[in-house]
Amino acid sequence: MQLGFLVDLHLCMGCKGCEIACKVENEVPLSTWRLRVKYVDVGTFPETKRTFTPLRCNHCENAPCERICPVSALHYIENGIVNIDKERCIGCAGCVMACPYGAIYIDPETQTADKCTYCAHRIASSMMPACVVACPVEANIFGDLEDPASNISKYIQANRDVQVRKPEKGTKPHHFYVGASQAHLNPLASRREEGYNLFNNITHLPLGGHH
Amino acid sequence: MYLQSRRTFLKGAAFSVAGVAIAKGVFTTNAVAESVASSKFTNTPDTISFYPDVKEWDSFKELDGTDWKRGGIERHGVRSESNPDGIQVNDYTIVPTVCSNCEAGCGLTAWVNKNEFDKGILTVRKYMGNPLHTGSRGRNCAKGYAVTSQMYDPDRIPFPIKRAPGSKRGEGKWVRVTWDEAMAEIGKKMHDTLAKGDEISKKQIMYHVGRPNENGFGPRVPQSLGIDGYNSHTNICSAGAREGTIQWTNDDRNSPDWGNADLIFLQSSHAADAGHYFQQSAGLIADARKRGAKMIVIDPRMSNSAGMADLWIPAWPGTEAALYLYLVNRIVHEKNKDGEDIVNHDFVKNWVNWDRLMANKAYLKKMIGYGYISKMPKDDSYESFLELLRELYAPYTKEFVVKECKLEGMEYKLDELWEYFVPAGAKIASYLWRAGPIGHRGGWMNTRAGFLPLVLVGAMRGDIGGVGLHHWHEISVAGKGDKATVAGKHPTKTDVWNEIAWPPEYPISTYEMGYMMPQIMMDDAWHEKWTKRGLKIPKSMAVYVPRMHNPLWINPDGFRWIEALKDESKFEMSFNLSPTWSETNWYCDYVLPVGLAGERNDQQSTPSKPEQRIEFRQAVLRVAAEKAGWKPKDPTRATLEAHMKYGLGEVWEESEFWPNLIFHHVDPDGKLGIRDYWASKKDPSRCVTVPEYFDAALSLLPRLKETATKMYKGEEYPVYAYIRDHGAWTEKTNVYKPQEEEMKIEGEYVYAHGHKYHKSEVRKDEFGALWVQDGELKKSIGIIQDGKVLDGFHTLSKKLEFFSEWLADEWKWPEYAIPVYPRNDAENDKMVHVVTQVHHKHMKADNEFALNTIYRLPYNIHTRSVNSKHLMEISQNHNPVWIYTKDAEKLGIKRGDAIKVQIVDTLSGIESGYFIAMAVPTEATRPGVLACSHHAGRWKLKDSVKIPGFEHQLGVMGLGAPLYEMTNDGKVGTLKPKEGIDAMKHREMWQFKEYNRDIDDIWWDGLSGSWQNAVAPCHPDPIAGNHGWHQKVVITKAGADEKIGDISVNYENNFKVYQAWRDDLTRPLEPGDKWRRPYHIKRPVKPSQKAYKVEIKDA
Amino acid sequence: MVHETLAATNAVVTLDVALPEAFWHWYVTMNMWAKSIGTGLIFMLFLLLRKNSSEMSGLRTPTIIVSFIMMNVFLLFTLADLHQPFRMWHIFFYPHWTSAITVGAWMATIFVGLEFVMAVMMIRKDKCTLTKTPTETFDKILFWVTLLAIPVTLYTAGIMAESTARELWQMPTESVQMILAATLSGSAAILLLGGSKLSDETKSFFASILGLSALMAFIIYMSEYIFGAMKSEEVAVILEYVKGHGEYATMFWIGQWTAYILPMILVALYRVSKSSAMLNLAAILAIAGLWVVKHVWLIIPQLLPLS
Ligand SMILES: Nc1nc2c(c(=O)[nH]1)N[C@H]1C(S)=C(S)[C@@H](COP(=O)(O)OP(=O)(O)OC[C@H]3O[C@@H](n4cnc5c(=O)[nH]c(N)nc54)[C@H](O)[C@@H]3O)O[C@H]1N2
Ligand SMILES: Nc1nc2c(c(=O)[nH]1)N[C@H]1C(S)=C(S)[C@@H](COP(=O)(O)OP(=O)(O)OC[C@H]3O[C@@H](n4cnc5c(=O)[nH]c(N)nc54)[C@H](O)[C@@H]3O)O[C@H]1N2
Ligand code: SF4
Ligand code: SF4
Ligand code: SF4
Ligand code: SF4
Ligand code: SF4
Ligand SMILES: [Mo]
Repeated sequence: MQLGFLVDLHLCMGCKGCEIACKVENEVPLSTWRLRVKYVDVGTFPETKRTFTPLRCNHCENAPCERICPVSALHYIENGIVNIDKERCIGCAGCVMACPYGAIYIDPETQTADKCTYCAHRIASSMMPACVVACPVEANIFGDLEDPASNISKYIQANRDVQVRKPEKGTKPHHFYVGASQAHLNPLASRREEGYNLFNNITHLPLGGHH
Repeated sequence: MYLQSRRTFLKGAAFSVAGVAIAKGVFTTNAVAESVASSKFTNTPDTISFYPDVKEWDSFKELDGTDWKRGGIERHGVRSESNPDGIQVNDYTIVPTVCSNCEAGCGLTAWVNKNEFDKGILTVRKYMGNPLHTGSRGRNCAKGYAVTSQMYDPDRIPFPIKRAPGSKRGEGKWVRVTWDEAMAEIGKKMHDTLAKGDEISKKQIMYHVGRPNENGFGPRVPQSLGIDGYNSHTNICSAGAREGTIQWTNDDRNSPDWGNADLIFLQSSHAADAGHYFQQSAGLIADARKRGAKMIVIDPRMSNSAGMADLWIPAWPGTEAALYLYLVNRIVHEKNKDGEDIVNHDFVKNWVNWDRLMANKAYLKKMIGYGYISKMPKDDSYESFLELLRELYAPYTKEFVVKECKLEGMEYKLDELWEYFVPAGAKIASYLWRAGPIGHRGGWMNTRAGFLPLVLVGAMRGDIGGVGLHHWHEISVAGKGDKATVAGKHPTKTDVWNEIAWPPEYPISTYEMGYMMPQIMMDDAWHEKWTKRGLKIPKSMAVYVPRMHNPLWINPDGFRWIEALKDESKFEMSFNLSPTWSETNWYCDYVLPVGLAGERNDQQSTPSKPEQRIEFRQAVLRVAAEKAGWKPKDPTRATLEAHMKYGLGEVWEESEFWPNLIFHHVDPDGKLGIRDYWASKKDPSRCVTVPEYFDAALSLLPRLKETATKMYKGEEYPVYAYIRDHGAWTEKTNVYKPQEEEMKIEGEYVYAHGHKYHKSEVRKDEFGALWVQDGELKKSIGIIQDGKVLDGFHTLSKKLEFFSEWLADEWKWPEYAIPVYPRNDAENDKMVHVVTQVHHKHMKADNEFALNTIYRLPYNIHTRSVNSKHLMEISQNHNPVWIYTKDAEKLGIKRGDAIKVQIVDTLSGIESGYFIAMAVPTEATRPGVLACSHHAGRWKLKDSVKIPGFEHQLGVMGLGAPLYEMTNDGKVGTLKPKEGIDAMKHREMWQFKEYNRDIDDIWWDGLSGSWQNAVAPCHPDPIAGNHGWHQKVVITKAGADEKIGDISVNYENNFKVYQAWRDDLTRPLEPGDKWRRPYHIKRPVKPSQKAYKVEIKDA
Repeated sequence: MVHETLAATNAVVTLDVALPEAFWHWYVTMNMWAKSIGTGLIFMLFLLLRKNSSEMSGLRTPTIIVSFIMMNVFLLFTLADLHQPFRMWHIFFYPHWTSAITVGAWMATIFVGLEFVMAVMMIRKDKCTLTKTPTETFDKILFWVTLLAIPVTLYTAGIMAESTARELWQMPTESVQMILAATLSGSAAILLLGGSKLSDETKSFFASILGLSALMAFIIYMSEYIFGAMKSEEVAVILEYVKGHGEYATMFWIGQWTAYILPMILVALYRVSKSSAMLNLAAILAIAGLWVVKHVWLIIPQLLPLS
């Protein structure tokens, strides 16, 4: 079994239902996110467009976070999920430095690393991840990549433009996107201006760890 | 197969490992493996489901997400007696309920953790969707999931509070009262008022509701009291759309079949931001787009919907009617690619009331007089009607639209529009709601014009993929639990008409003028004028009850509201039914904390697709506790008792509050004749209970009743039991074209809308419509077509009314009785009633703009987000003014700059004042049009409230409302932010402490929005009655001492603006008028015909 | 940046979550800096042993003690940088060997342990129970400790290399930089420690190491500065922080000047003038500058937006 995720960006409307579902399901503390939906406005008036990209841990096959973790707090479980153990974690932040996708944060409550687990507890309860359940437009497709009959496998077969983030890092993500442009996937393909923006304050936060 | 065997293998392996381990004496490892193997949990499940089967809802076990963070079951196993260190398993009772954050009414399920039920603890771990709800299909938006954080908001109001004796309203001094004390005092006041029994007293109790989110219980309350006391909020919400839709269909909103459409045609933001019924619509729109449907969005601002559309047309706000009539022009003149007419003649010929127009020679002459047409049509034929259309709409050319909608340089978009529009045929879905219609004077004409192209192509036939009507798909039975009461019947209609809600200037408004209640009540001259003309208007409200509403903040001219609510001679007593703090609370006498989504009991029905469905909202803690064996002491107060017992506080609910209040305090001895409407039939010594009432109400659905009685055989309240366990019910699917259904005729009787008429009562007119007598009036009940007796549309003519005959004749607006829009400058000035107050002709200097004040963020709800830490975190209460990049450049405005936005009325030229806001230049709003939403700018005057005798402080909107300083002297009001929300982090946390342990991680300060609504004057549209939300503004950079969040309002000026719009534009009732309002069109709570009758005296 | 940010595309982030500040901050700078000195001193002591063991006599004890102290500073800051410092022991009980952190922690621990033994031996020369010939044993162990010092100083490069998200840090360059940092600060430190105890010849030997280390490190930085951007857009974006008006440009140049350029000049001048004062100044600047240089290079890759 190799669980994987796919987001169809043609469908995602940026409602952030998934984001809050995740916060609630996993009690992700304020100021940290396992999942975030990024908006990028592209183009000039009147040909402006808005893109929405849900970003979460990719559960890499060749996960730099797992590799760097000195104590195996980050570890694979048998269904392919990159899981995390807060009791094992020593909080060295190596994983934070290693993940090329900014998917890991230090939980300010526990002072340990945390990230999306594909809702491994729900999976173990035979339930879909919370964010998949939430999505009003079914943009999130989840399932077993090793099973050719699963929804996700079928989706991958049916679409030509299946992409992952930063393939050049050799991480082999198990998280795919359909309908993505550079503006969706490449953080350097858009301007990210600090400070108050159209919708929120795009800012750097003081470290979750030291306060 | 493979998976299954693998799982078995693993279990086997685990057991053998266990065996070996025991042999070795390594007890812990083996316990871990065994705990997993012997549980239902496995990391490699055979199937992964969205929701557990409903059969498992009473007890569903799931691993805890927070505890899993310890590394999951591989490292710790599953918690059990032999493996206490295992990952926690939550034993949930899954209780269905309904989200209440917007009116989509999506299904929710509360996952009530009963692990510690024995210790008296029940907690809702999370809310998810309800898969049995066929509209929301188990899905929810951010706001749905935020119901958890709203429920456990640390600043919730924990018990009823009352303004401290001796203090003034707004001083912020409160004492604690019990529900019984509150009910006794309020009940007495209501009793004493009603006991007078005169006409005035029947107008002195006002139940003022925001978005009701239930279908009829609320209205039943004032109706049972025999008063005209129901006031709604529609005139700041959707009046324009409702007006236009009523004129076409006599239904106040349409109901598209998004999922099956080929073109999604939006002048709204249903695909991604808001709208009725937000995420359900968005999901269905996504379904259509998956099938290849195209999407067009008309919006001056790039909403998320526009940002993902195939075509975005940023027309100048308020001019869309011109665009629609341009489409009409092309539709009636051109052919499609196959050389066929684009007009769907089958439909138009049968189902549009062109016949009445062609027969009304007097009106046709008027049309010539207005210059709409040049000559009388040749004859009354359909062909001549088409000829008339061609002439009528010929002036709406591409050149005209480009100029009127200011689309210079975007001509190609009009071509694209056409390219998408025609091939879609009748499969075009749209929902005309706020957007254009609410923002503007004459916004209703936008709807009138907007439906015309849809009518012509046949999309309004209500067929698959087209546009149907709201009442086809909605079921309202919540007000009809009558059978459970001693009275056994519905309360009778009142005979009085309340001018405070419905002033004589606005007879056809949709609906009550609730947003200008203070203006109405404080205008003595107006009072005197109409009293002289014979109307009996109260000078004060004895009891004012806002419910699910924050009128002070969300309406225009907030300082006038403050002024009025503070005035004890105008509002003698007021109580807010609100679970949370709000600005309105601050000026009320009582705040009675009723429940949020998972804490209420009511029936809702959302017509989000062509089916008929109900959903049932319920107090989930009560239901979970009852399922676990708990019983209330007093069944009429079960919800309150459950909430107190299981840690929510003294939170009650209307479905139990009103019956108790009325039964015990308003009419304790039954002398007022009200009590019987709420006394339980089963046990007349008490009032009705939730199961009794809703079982009776929901039993009115025949299919539900049948299913439920089969499924719940032994139960006393089987229908209630069904809805309690399932949360939703779909009574009928595929509701298409009901107008074409044949009426039931049995023997000598004709059946229409639940009534039975003897054939002899029915008269057919020359157009085939069937009429019966209705009191002093006539009403139509069906229509004969091709020899068949059909239901027809809901209009008087039983057809879609291109020509609104009643508007033209009796109701004084003949020039607007057909879809028109001024075609040149002269007409633009003359037809002022249907020209927006922010027309571009008013914008002269570079710093003069139209301000779009209406749009929502998908993850905020008006003023309800402030009690959710999660929603606040997404938006941080940030509410910038969007300004087109090049406009900003011209004015030297940069991102983050504080700007001063001054509101100026274009009718009277009067200035209102200003608000200071943050400017953000963007490519996402059109040139000349700014945009600023209303989600932020919440305020409070005290950070927390000390209640005498209570050990903790009650925090006030700590997650998102900064502390402000206010001044108001009756003329000018100001607000200045004093500090952000930092105090929240330092305040003692006593409520829901565990859930809010991350509050100290709050990283926003809330200081970047301002209360713009307070600056806006009331702008009542003379016909629809809607407040025209858009404003003309003049912007400059803010001065050194002006901070974002500052506002300053001359509300004396605002009053003058209100009067100007009222006095210069309306056509009020006058001597000779017989009726208050067209009886056939909707009123949320309809009084009797007697109440409708009026006699206006000569002044 | 990439073509997407062309005016025509004009892509602007309008909503995103806040990003955390740099995770590895000056604690980690302290860590690298102290470790460079600690290991560098061992390298130098070993070289001295090989080159002119007679000059070792007064230096064994102070050098090993200073190195030991620096290594403890390093360990202390490593520990302090952990969000769960009390769980440091997990590294020894749940070691994960693909992690450079684990490998490094083990080696550093053994290294510091050996240093401790060496220090004790030297301090308690007469009462030493381990060996009868402490000095000889010291010198014998020194060989192994020097060998160990190489991976101990390199492993941080390994961690940085495993930090996949931080494109600027590449194992080849970083390992060279780590060694150079050790030789630079080690030579500087031993010059300061040795003082007049060192012969002129030895002094100028260490001075050459100092100068050459500075030169080589400087060359690598400059190569990165000029050529790095050509190979990867991430590096290009990161280097913007030290170029032109970049946020870290001033600090970067202060570092380059104090750690490398000035010491090189001073060493060159010393060779002419033989002024120990000049050499001492070079040494002090190099040690101080190294901190700055390391710090800049530690921080800037962490500023790269990853979402
Ligand atoms: N997320 C969310 N959803 C909600 C609500 C909420 O608070 N939050 N509230 C609910 C309620 S009460 C309502 S009434 C509905 C309303 O839902 P909608 O009818 O969709 O109304 P709005 O969001 O007010 O406006 C829709 C769009 O109209 C645009 N607009 C503004 N002025 C004009 C104009 O003059 N012309 C045109 N063409 N467009 C214009 C705005 O920019 C906005 O993008 O949403 C409901 N759903
Ligand atoms: N500038 C501007 N202003 C607008 C709009 C706009 O687009 N622009 N939109 C307008 C529209 S469409 C609308 S509908 C109004 C909405 O206006 P309102 O309906 O007044 O606003 P809400 O914030 O939704 O809810 C108001 C209050 O309901 C109470 N409440 C919340 N949940 C519950 C509950 O479960 N039960 C009970 N009994 N009470 C509850 C709280 O006290 C809350 O403050 O705002 C209008 N105001
Ligand atoms: S995305 Fe990041 S956190 Fe997730 S597995 Fe890959 S490297 Fe690890
Ligand atoms: S922070 Fe924790 S999870 Fe991350 S690498 Fe360090 S020990 Fe592992
Ligand atoms: S899978 Fe679960 S943990 Fe991951 S983003 Fe979705 S909800 Fe969050
Ligand atoms: S819930 Fe679905 S549509 Fe909404 S933001 Fe997440 S992925 Fe996009
Ligand atoms: S669309 Fe409205 S009702 Fe549905 S989940 Fe969202 S807020 Fe709740
Ligand atoms: Mo609304």
